[in-house]
Amino acid sequence: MPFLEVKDLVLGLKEKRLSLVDKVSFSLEKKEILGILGESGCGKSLTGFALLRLFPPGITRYSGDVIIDGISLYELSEEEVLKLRGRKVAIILQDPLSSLNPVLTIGEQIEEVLKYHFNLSKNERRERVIQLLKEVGVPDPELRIKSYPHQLSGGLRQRAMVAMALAGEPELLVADEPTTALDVTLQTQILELIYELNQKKDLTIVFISHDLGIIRGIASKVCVFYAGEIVEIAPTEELFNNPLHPYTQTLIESYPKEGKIKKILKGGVVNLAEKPKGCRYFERCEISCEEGKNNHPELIGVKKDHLVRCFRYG
Amino acid sequence: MVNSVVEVKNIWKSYEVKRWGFKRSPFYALIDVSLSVFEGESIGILGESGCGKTTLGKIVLDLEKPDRGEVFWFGKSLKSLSKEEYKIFRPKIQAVFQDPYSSLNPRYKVSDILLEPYFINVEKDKEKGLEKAKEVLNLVGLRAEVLDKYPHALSGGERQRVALARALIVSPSLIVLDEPTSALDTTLASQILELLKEFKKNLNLSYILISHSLPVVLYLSDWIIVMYLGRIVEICKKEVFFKTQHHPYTLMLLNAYPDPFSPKALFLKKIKGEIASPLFRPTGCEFHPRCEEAEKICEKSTPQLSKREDHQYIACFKR
Repeated sequence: MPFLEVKDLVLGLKEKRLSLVDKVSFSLEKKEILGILGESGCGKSLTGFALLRLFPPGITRYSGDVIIDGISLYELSEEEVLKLRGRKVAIILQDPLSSLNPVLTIGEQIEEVLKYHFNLSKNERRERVIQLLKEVGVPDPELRIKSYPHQLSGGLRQRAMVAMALAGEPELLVADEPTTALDVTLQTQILELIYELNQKKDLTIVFISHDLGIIRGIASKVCVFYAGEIVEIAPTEELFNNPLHPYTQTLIESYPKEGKIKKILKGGVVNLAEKPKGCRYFERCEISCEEGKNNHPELIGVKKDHLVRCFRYG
Repeated sequence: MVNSVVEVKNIWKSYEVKRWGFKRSPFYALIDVSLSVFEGESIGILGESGCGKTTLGKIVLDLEKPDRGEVFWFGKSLKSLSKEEYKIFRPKIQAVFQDPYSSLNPRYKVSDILLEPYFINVEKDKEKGLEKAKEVLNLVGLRAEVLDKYPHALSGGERQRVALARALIVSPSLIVLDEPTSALDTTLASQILELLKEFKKNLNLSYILISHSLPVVLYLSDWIIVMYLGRIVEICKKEVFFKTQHHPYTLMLLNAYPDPFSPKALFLKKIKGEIASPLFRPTGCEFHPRCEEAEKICEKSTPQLSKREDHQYIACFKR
């Protein structure tokens, strides 16, 4: 049985029926890293949050389930979810300055997780916080536990975020664009850290990003999202060497390489409020096949582990 | 002969920070920086946050005055420009900023955003202004309908196009692009980059492109300038960029960039440390605490920028 299974997840607006994430399904073995790739507004972050049963205001789940290590997340009671969140599954967010509490020291914030999930004495908690900060590569952790977020540099802040996520000893980590707010050099350091955690602690990771380079570097398997749907899933190297969906192909070719861009993806993403009937990529597609105009393609397996949503195949 | 559009000579710029509420300590954001941009040429400035690249952009735009050194627009020192000359030259140097959400006035319609600089710098004629506005909107790939919209009704990519149109409406010679694509998705970014490249060719525009993204800089620039803690550490022409030896810091940036065109190589590269605070500047070569090749001399004295090959200047003792 896979460690994480997402089954036909549909998320959308509370007020009116409009699905923003449509029938998303994927599964992940223990210690795998899944990369979720897509443009802003394609539903990748919503999917990430749903793995913790968290929703931004105004968003809700219509149907589908998330199964983590045999536990159905959406069949649990609120209290049971609170016990699970932070303990079994944790999240790292994009901007550590706005996701850390500015009036608490980072020591206090990490300690809060320990207080909630474990039965430790005050001294034990302090020791654990220092150990966690050391693990994520914060220098002088004994001094740093007394620092407020604004006193730390961007890189250290993100490390503190990672330490906080690790405090509950989770088995699944959702990383939602954890390096977008950082410089390239710091980005590499944080990615290295996340990869190391995956290797040493057998952490299963769902890594959300719009950066092709990062995804290729870190993920073992990639889901490409477009307008709320998965359009292609494949093992990383297979996806980058042999992309099948026209969107994935153009996405890779539109990346500047040695001072040149091969192809430009024209136009914008389809407006979901207009409830497109056919293929959601139809307007921007190079092929724009007849079938795609009015019919919606299904995600089908082309090769082993390689699924694609396009009429060209199948 | 090709003329220089903008030139800065030996610029120093310091700021003061208040620490503990009363104690003021100065720090240098730019140290002895010189560069020139010629007609139709574009220069990319690469570096981590805090390396002074945005400050340099502001100085070129005359939004900040340098402590020492001189800025030249079209070969004339800003100090010696008369009021009339300044008025003529001012609109020739334009800017596009990183975040189109905060650089466009939310209470102005797109038409007001575009007409304001036109009225001030070209002429106060609404009809002609609107015509010109439609023309530049067309250039940046937007339809004339957006004239009646407010920025909030536009998407991120459209907003950045409006910001670009605002710069173009006064027919500039040079645009300072401060991280023009970092707030955008890969697909939108490549659309904007293509536009910029087109304008460079068709309108003979010069750019000073400020970015921390190497592919973006390589795509758009003829010269690449790498800055570290307020100092230029390398200048290199694009043609030879992949053929020569680089400053250790340039190499670090090169290695740090996750490349979608090569398989799993990300974690073979070790990146040491973080950029130092300009308040506590390391002695000697500023980069030595993070440098793999640092030796005694690097801790003691500061290397000067000197010519290595044709089209390349490096400030390093080891190269």
